[in-house]
Amino acid sequence: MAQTRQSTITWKHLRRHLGKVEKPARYTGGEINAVKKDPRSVDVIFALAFPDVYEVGMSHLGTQILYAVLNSREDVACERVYAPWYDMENLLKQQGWPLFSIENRLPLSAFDIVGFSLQYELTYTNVLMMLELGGIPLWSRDRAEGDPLVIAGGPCTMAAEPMAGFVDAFALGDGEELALDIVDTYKAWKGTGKSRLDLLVMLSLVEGVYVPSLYDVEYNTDGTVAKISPTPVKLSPESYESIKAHAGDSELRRACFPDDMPGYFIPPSKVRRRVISSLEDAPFIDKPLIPLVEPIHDRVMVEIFRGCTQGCRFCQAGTIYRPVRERTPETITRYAKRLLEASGHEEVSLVSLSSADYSHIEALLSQLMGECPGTKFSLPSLRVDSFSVDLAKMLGASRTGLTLAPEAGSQRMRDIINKKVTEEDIMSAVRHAFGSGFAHIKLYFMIGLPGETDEDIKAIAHLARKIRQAGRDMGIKPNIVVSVSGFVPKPNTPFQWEPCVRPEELRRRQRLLGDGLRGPGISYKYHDVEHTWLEAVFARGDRRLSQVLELVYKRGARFEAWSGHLDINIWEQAFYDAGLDPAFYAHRERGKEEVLPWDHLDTGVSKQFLLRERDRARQGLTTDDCRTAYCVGCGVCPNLGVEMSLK
Amino acid sequence: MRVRVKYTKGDKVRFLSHLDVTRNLRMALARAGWPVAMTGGYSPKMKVSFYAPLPVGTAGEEEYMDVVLDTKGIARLVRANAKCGSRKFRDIDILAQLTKAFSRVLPEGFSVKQVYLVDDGKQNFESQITGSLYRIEVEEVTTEDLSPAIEQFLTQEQVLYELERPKQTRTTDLRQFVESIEVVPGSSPATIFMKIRHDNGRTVRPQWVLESLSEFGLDIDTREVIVDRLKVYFD
Repeated sequence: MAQTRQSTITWKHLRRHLGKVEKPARYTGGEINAVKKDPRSVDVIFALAFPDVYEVGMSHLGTQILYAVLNSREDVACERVYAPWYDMENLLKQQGWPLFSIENRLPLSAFDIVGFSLQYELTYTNVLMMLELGGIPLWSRDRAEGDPLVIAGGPCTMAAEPMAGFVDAFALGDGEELALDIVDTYKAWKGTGKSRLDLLVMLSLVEGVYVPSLYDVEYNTDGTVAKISPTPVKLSPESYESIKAHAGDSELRRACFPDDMPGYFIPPSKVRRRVISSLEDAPFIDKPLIPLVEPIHDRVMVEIFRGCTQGCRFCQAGTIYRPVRERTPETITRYAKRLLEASGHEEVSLVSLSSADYSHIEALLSQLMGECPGTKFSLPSLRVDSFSVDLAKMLGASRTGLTLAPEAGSQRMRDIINKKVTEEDIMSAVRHAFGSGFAHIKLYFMIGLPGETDEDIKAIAHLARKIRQAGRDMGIKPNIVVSVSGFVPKPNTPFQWEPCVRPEELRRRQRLLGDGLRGPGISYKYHDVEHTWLEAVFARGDRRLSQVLELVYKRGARFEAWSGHLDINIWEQAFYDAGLDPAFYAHRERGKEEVLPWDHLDTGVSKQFLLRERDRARQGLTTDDCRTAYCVGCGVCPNLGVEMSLK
Repeated sequence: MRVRVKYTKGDKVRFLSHLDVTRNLRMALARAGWPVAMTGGYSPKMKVSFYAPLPVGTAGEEEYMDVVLDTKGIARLVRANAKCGSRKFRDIDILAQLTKAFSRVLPEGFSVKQVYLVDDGKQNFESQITGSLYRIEVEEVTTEDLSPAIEQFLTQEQVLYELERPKQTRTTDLRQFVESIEVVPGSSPATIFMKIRHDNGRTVRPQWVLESLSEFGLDIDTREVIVDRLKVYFD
């Protein structure tokens, strides 16, 4: 533990004031299987910080995994902290209390390492709130020797330049092994009396760790990135020798300590994402955290495979979690049973990016249902086909309804996005669903996709009506929900160069679709265009946006992801004050040759592949899934030295 | 077979809502492997009843829930016991076994005080509950400040309290629900014992009584008081 440790908030004090906030049990912990260690008995205390409210954070599988992995180490105490709701933020300020962890109520500033989970761009302001309430300087450059190391993981980190000013190090990719490597590096540094810069240098030598302050970004006069280059760091002779020795002797490491620049460290020019080679052998949480407050997803989760190679061109998860790695049915069944026993839950969610793709899905479900009578099983993401409908039927979902995601209404558009289903597939799936007793069908679509015309939008309405009619023809009264989100071009996808549709145009398309959906039996839901806009700015932003985040945070922006909490005026003013144009980030088509702000971060999927996919999208050509067809040459397996692992 | 479980909602879990309390106890019953009878239908639920719900922030020393046990499940337990070579089946052994299993899996802050068989009779337990004894601790107010205001309250024929609910405001006479209030002389923080009546499930919160003291010149921030229910009285 570091030298300075503020005292913790006593239960007596907390108890007296918690009656003033909504849902106070968000802050009192006591979860089953929570791990409360004596922080003085360990070498490293680690805070897993989730920038959203407790009920959301407690439903996040990644936090559960890392909590178990980190606490399995005797020399580490891992605690959790969540974003305080507005009323709690006020209470903390009124009482002069720092934001504190759940387990030992330690101030955030007392931790050695604070690790944020960046799941979604619209939670960035909450990270700033948590840092400041936790007593940690907002800007990475302002942190001194006694301050915690602030790191971040999660899907956003593959392109989180807007957070570069606030995060000391990003952890890219699978966290199971990486989190421990970071802890080990921290431990090796701690107590040596070396500087904070030395720690950052040591971390940058860990595969999968990206230290943004060690990279310099130059801009062209038009505002685009000219160059992202590693900054040579002059180390003290002592540090130079010991870090070099610690780094071993690989080729990459030799490049970091060039012979012609003695005393200097050059960070790796590219930071590669970490992957675990086998999910089957990955650590499993046999003591799941069971919150006493109902979380948003009140069930146990078993990951059945990681990665997805369907190749939908809008989907970021389809790139950054490759390759596919499955667990065996036996392992999944064993885990499910153990979690049910340990929790008292009645429902298991079989988690993956496309659960119907699991190699033995039918066998798995029959086995699970045979061995766990009375338990409900759910598959969160099904395909649009009759096979998936059968699975849903098998799970007894006919009462609750079926959710299908055709994503686009016209065949032309579905070909562009590589959603490999035909209208006939969709119609036969829904007829099968109606025939199997489903009456409620929820359909997910996106609008604002690249190349979209008004005809494509009308095709969504047409398809929804056709589906409803199919149900009526079969003598039932179907209840169709059309849920539509605005397309956001995401980094590390074939659409990363595409412009996002402007809010006013998106609104027009929403209305156009609404006009087509008017009438009985179909309800229509859509997202706020402001959310789409802001997400589009930050998903592909550069590090100059850190400044905007600070401005909006100071002016009260919080919980942007929550409906009704995004104040567009604050944001527009902040962009203006920072001299940055949000349209430059959101609505501009980027050039093929342009340096993208995340070009130095390597998912393993090559840029050539993404460009090729973009070309194929423009030609309306689909690309197969390497799970069932040939290798499509995305590059991930050779680049990361891993293989697809089907069981 | 209906058993009544007397349990504690302790200090550490006082901030749980009644709904969360019921959720945690149901899940604990599942973890403990109790053979709870289930309702029929598409999504079967455990046959468990909870009484005299406590609000968020209030702890309860002696709370009650009823659990209907499945006779087949009990029979299985008995057979399992017989296999282990235990003595002849007696209700009490099974209850002790169930109590132990339940105790082991409860979240910190909850505990079991007693598990006993009750008649599967027709009468609703809720309507048998006649009163609650609360202990209230108030900081920043001395017992000297409290006593006169409370005396005044007790001399009233009625004390009306307006309960604001999202859609309507309901007026309740607090006085008729308050059986007694005692201030522990010289206590610090000022400690009050308050006995409150229940009338077929209707009752009032001690915080409302404290709030109403503003009519008698004493303002208390009732969000800061610590309320514990010590006892639930029933016929």
